[in-house]
Amino acid sequence: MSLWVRILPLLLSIALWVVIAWLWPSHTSPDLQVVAWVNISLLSALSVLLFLYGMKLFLQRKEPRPGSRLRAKLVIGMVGMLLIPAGALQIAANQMVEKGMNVWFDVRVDTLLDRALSLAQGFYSRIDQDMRHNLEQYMNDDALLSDIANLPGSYRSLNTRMMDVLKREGWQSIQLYDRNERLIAAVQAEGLSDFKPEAFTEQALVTLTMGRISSELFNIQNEEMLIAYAPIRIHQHIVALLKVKTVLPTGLIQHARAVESDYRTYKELERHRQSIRDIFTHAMLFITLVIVLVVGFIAVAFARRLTSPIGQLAHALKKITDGNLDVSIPNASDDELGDLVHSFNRMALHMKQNVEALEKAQVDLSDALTSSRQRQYVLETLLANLQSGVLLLNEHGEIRLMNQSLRELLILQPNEWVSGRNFADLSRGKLHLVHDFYDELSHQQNETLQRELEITIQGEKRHILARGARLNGSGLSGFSGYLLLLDDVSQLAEAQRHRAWSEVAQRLAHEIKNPLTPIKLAAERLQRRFRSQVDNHDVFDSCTHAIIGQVERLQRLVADFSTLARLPKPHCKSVQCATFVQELRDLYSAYSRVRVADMPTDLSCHCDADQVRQILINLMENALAATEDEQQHIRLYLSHDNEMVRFHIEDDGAGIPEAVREHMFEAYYSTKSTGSGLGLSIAKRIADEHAGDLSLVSSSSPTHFCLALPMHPPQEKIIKKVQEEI
Amino acid sequence: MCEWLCKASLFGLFFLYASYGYGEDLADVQIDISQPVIYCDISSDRGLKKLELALKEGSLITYTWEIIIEEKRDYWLNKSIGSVQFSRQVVPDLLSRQWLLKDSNSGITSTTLSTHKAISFLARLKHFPIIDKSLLQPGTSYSIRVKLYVEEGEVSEHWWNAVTKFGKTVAVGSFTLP
Repeated sequence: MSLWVRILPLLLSIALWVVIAWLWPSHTSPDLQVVAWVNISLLSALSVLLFLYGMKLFLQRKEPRPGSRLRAKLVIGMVGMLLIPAGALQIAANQMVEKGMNVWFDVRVDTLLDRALSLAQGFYSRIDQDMRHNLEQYMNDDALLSDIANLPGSYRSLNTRMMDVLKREGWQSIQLYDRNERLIAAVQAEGLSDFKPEAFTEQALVTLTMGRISSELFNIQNEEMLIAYAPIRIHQHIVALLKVKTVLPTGLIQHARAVESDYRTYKELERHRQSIRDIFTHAMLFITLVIVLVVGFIAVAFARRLTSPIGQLAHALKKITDGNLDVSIPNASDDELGDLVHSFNRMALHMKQNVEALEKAQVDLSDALTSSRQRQYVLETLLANLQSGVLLLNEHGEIRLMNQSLRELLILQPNEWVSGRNFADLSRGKLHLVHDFYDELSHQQNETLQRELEITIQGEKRHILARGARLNGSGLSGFSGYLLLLDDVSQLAEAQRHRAWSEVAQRLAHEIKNPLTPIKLAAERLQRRFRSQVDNHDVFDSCTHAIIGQVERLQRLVADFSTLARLPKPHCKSVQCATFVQELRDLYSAYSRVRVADMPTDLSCHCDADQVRQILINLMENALAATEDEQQHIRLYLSHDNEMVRFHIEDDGAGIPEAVREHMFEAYYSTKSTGSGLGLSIAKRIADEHAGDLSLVSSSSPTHFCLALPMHPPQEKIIKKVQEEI
Repeated sequence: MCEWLCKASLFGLFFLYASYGYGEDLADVQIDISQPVIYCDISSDRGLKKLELALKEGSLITYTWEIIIEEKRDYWLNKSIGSVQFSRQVVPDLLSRQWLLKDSNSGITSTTLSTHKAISFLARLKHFPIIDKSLLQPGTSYSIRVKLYVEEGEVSEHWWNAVTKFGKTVAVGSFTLP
């Protein structure tokens, strides 16, 4: 709610207080005090109500109740619509009254009434003056005074004289009193039958006291009567009071009194001109206030009735906004608001049903998602741990998925073969065989394809078993594409070849070995029995020795074949490395060019001592063969880390040519005329079966071989690794 | 609802107290406590010109005096001892240019030709007896509150006249009996 709306009631309250101060009744207008005080009370009540409401609004911090602002606007609008015409009407009415008063209280009317009153007063004054004048004559009439002075003897004469005056002047009565208010004589137009003497009035006493004529008016029985008093002096002493009554003419008196009444009323109105205006203003204000209050209460009731459903709607909407959909508004009316409430209830019900359905769907979806994630996790884990390289392509040949084994198999960089790239563009060059395989798979009719590929990667030939399948977009996934699985079967092929060769070698050795011994024995027998019988001993010896020598060579060759084919499983145990060193030092002590370094005595390795000794001797023999000169040295020393012990054998021989280096660990490859080409091959195989390695570190200057053997058995190795990680 | 009633009550009490204590010295009051009866002289000279004009223009004027005797009490409303109310009326006769003076207290009616006498009759009370001293407590402070009701024209006999008639406290005096 804006600040202006919040302070509007306070401003209106202040304005009302100003109006109250302006309308505060003045002391000079008592007639309108009732209406004025009623207005003041109404205005004060309104102002207090507005002030309290304004303070409540001003200090209000929390959000007002729903619908209250709309209700306030409706009430303000309705009362405002009433106030504007009411105010205009009041101003117009005040102007009309002001102008009307100027007409009513015109100076000409004033003058006219003044003149009329003067005429009436002149009439009265004339009668009074006439009576006074006549009384003055009679009070100086000698005959009358003589009769008064000679009373009671002159009573008849006085009475006759007074009757004559009564008839002559047309008076009502003439009474004569002495100073003690005793009636002396009286005459009356209608006779003295109902005559009653009257006590002296204050005016009569004044006449007696002051000794001058006075008069006064009386209204008796709807008749106005002028009574005049005249003192009777005899010898300068007031001895009696003459009281004369005359009835004023009724018609004239009525007119004169009407003039007086009109004059009085007019003057009263003129004098209260401001008060009349104020009365009118206050009356109009009172009516306006009553109407405003009534309309205000009606407006509040109407607005409350109108905004109640809207407030309930707003409250219900707020509840819905807060997440509470269990709302329903009681439908009370049959109008558009009722329809709105009905529609809202239906909307809330539908929304609740939809939300419930959504929540159920969300739960199902969440379960499915969880299941999907689990499947994805299983799949990713499977792919990550799968030794086979997996490659998933979409129907356009773009990479969608591939695992780490494929990268390791094809020795791919992390930025190569990323998802979204076209496989055909990436598999050119050395990997064209893989592309050819994919091309064949994508163009063939069958759903699957399997081929064995020989790919040279970084100079190493690898036998790859490629298997492919076409995905036809069936099932829930709807995915179409190709799945390629690449397996490195080089070792398997090697093993298969080795196994096949071993079988052949064993059979061949067996077949060759059997006749060799009789041949050798026969040759030796020939040498012993027939040497003396031959003429040329040299030729004979040369031939028999050649037969025996070649047979022995064949026997060694067969023995090597047999050894390679039937290489026994190593029986590993912990062996002190110093033992090997000491044995080699003793064995080759005759060669001065052999230098064996001292080794730590506590260093051990996990191996089959006989097979390791065979490797070391093979390496030492090769080194000795390469160094015939005593100046060329052979060095044997050890190194180790936490896992491996390494035997280093270096010689300063001619070295190994690069072409030989590539094939030196292959079987039957030898550069020596008498060699079988199986020594290094067997040594390499023994090292591999010990989970170690035999490698050529340097091919010349010096020629450096390194035999690495594990220090601990495989289980201990794992346990130790775990302990280190912990 | 109760909150609104409390606020309205407080507001009403405030106005009641304000109106009760409101008094303007529009008249002079002199109290004579030397005699067995308490007398007072009251003269209200305010608005005499308007009064004279109204009389000369023939308006009937009625002055109703109400003299309220109260016992003073600290921190509380004064205790009412008694009150005296009477009227004085002047009936002008424009034709004869005289004024009829009526005293409701004594019932005396008189006429006068003097405007000043008529005004004095209305606006001045001389040696007016208020209360017998035996009804009051010695050593106690009392206040006299004089309210004046001025009416122009015939006095209305309607029942609501008593309700709607607003008097004004024109003078406040106090005395303490020895």
